[in-house]
Amino acid sequence: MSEFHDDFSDLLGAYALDAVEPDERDEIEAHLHTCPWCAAEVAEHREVAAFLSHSGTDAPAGVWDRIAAELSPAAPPMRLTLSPVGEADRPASPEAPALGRIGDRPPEPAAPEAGPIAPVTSLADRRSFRTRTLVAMASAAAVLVAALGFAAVDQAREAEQWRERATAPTTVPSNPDDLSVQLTGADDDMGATAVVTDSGRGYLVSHDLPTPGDDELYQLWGVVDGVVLSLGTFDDETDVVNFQIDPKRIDGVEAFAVSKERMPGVVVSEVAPVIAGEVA
Amino acid sequence: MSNLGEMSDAGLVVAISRYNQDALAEAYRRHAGAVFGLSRRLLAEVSLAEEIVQEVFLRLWNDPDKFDPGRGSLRSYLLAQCHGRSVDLLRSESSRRRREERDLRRTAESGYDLEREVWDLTVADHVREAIAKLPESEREAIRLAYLGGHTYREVAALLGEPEGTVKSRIRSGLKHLRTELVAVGATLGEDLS
Repeated sequence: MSEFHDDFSDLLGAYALDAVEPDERDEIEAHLHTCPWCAAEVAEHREVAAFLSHSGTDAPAGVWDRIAAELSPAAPPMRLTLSPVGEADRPASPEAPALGRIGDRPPEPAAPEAGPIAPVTSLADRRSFRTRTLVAMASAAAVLVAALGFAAVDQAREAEQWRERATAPTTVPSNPDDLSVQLTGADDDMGATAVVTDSGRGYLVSHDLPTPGDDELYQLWGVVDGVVLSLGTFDDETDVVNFQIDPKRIDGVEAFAVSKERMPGVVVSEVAPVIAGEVA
Repeated sequence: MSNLGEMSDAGLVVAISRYNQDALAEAYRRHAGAVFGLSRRLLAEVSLAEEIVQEVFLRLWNDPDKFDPGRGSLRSYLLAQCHGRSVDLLRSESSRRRREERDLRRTAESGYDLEREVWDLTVADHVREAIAKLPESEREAIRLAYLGGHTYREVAALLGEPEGTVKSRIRSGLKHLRTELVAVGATLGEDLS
């Protein structure tokens, strides 16, 4: 343990209770980013503190309506920052274990905590929209990718055919049975079209993506049944990006996104996508 | 999953991250009462506490990624958010006078202590039992810091103790309380189990 660690460990209890001075808080938080032991201790203290809170209170009437009124009326830009994909939300298919992100995550019981139930107006008439948090897995997780039914495949020859058949950079020829998704970005000029055939072969044709930096590349992500996976990396000179989706899971395809990442790609992306699009 | 009522808290947050408003409503049903209770306890003002509740759940909606189920339960996360925001408000200049008045009023109350604070907790029996086993010095330091919203330096001044002693007592008290809670059967981080 470092001297710095020792200096601050005695403050962790007070920090967990928001009982330190602002300058101390800043220093501790900087330390917590680099010290999993102290971060774990703070989490434990907060768990204990939660028991000291007064849980016998009903939620105030009317507050939920105020919250609901402020919820986004339309899907905001796709989130690329990670979120857990829980056991309870995982697809049932045994060959497709959903993974939120790489790392240990405890299983989740389906047991809501006891306590008073707050009154909530039904949201049945408040239509919820569907978009997905992207939780990324990169090429480094190739084994997991394969297990999930995705695999980067060598489709160079077929891709060349697609490119030759393309009538415009943004147009991928496809038949009506193909899944086609338009990816758009903040800049109207840039975009892409992703097409997945009924055989599961996928193609992404992008246009006008800015040239990434020397140590950067583009990474393609796909969301299937709520699971976000890396589908490959490419640069701005790549005309067609090829990927493969398990044909049995095509109906679960929900969105595609492209982010700019550092070489050789990332396991978990935490940047906003450059372009993104959802299945209509 | 269609039955949100049976979904784990972590599963709810996944659904929230997908902009499922019903999942947020379910999280609100489960935890808004605790969040409101803590904020009202700290701020002693219903309207401010309601604002905190609104802020905490909107923050969960806008930044669900901030919750990491590997770090603890959703309940403790929401309460930590609530506590931090309430304390910020409490320590603002505009709240100072109101807080002083509140403290004076509470000082006049007899028998007011941490055990009473949790008297009607759903899990009150074993939590109260665990708290009762804490040394008085640790209990008082935790109470003033957590439920009083004081910094450890303020707690030291209030108790006439050295600052180093107080911060150590808060830490050791929380550790002792954790040990006691486990011993009496409380399930820490219960939505992780």
